Amino acid sequence: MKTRIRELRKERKLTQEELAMEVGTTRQTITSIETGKYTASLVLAYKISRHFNLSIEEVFDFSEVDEA
Amino acid sequence: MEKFKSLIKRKIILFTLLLLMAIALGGYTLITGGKGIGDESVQGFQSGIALGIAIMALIQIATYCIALKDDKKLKLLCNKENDERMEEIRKRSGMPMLLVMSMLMLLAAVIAGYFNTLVFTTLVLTAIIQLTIGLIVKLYHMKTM
Repeated sequence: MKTRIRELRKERKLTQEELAMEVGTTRQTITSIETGKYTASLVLAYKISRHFNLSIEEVFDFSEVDEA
Repeated sequence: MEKFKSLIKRKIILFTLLLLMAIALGGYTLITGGKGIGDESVQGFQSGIALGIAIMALIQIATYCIALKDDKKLKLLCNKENDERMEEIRKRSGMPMLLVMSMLMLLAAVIAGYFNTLVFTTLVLTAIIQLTIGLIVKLYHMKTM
């Protein structure tokens, strides 16, 4: 799944480590989500979106899910 | 975080018990000089497994004690232990059941070592193969997820 996490993180000058610490996960998981290797759970997607003060749809791209 | 702290304290107690058990097993083998154990290699394995368990327990106890003293390290450990991706990888590689089964097999092997070398070897080899397969699957998923 495509996400805007990397872009939002860069805008806010946040490292993967810092974001992981804030949302209660590991740096490796953030890397996997950013590269699209892993799809975050609803809870983690909510935590990440809330951290950026955005809705889940604004951070995660659900267009591929809609097509399926 | 308080809940995680108490979980860590419980884990420290568990690993201390494991350490004591390993010391008892190693000590028993040393004192009796492996009396009752037919094969020398079986005796060596039992001493080795006792030492391995003791070292692993010591490392875990030290890691948990260090984390308890530092809030940042505790948070990192909490995130690492509750990471959903790792949880998924563990599930896909058959953990923790595979680990439990292998540990029980090794325990059975230690006991069987006193009676039958063939049963001992079979159990140890099965446990090792099982753990190796689990590790390979885990590494594969870590790379792809």
